[in-house]
Amino acid sequence: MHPDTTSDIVGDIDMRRGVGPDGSERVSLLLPATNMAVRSGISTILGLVDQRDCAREEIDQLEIALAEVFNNIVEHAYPERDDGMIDVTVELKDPGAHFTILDTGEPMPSGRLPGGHTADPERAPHEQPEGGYGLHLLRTCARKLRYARNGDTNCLTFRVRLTPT
Amino acid sequence: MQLQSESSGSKLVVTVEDERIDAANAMKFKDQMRWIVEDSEQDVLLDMSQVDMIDSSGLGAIVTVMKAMGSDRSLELAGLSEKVRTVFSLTRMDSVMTIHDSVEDGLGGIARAS
Repeated sequence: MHPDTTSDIVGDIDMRRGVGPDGSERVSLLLPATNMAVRSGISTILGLVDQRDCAREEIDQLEIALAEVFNNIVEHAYPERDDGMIDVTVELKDPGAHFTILDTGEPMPSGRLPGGHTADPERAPHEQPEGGYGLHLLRTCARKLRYARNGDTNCLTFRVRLTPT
Repeated sequence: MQLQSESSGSKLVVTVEDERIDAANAMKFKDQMRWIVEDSEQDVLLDMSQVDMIDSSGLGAIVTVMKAMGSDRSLELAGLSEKVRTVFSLTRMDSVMTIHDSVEDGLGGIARAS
């Protein structure tokens, strides 16, 4: 992180703002991996991004992507624990934002992100699967989604487009 | 998670009085909905007009409730926000479930798959 940073704590969230090496605004957040802290984290990140006055659909899709990423971490990276942390870095670029999300929880099974699926319009409502939608939502709303396991850390990166209106 | 239910003609209208159905409350939503639907034999119209956001946990909970109701009863939705509509459309749930613009539409007209 560039020495020129300011930091503050919003609720449970430790947030630092600064400038990346390429001059773009960079915000780092550290949030507890709990459902309630994740809600605050999403709200905080959307607040940062919303200042750029972008298309509503893009902000909505970012929110959808973040909810799924964070839910996966809370539920699968840190199962049965409430003391895990999620390290989020947001780089505000033009025309979008780059996200790097780290956790030190369990690795992804089989070392990769599962695929996910949509509902099946050829089946009746009560015959639909109950799960698998989150990964589909994430893959649809996030661009350049990449997962890597580095030592004891899960690293997920993705981008979203933010078109100024 | 706050749910209000009221019988209206042949349907049971259940209003979600929470802004989100997400990982933080999807299980409570599912449990409360099951309690309500199992206590009735009516078709259900879920009033989502106060709900700003639903994630995959919430979506999964809705599917669980539909399964609990079985093939003879319907669960339809009304009053979806733009964001919630996006979630339903990206997952193709809008091709599977009947979605009305409003509770009035859901109670008045003939149900049409969207």
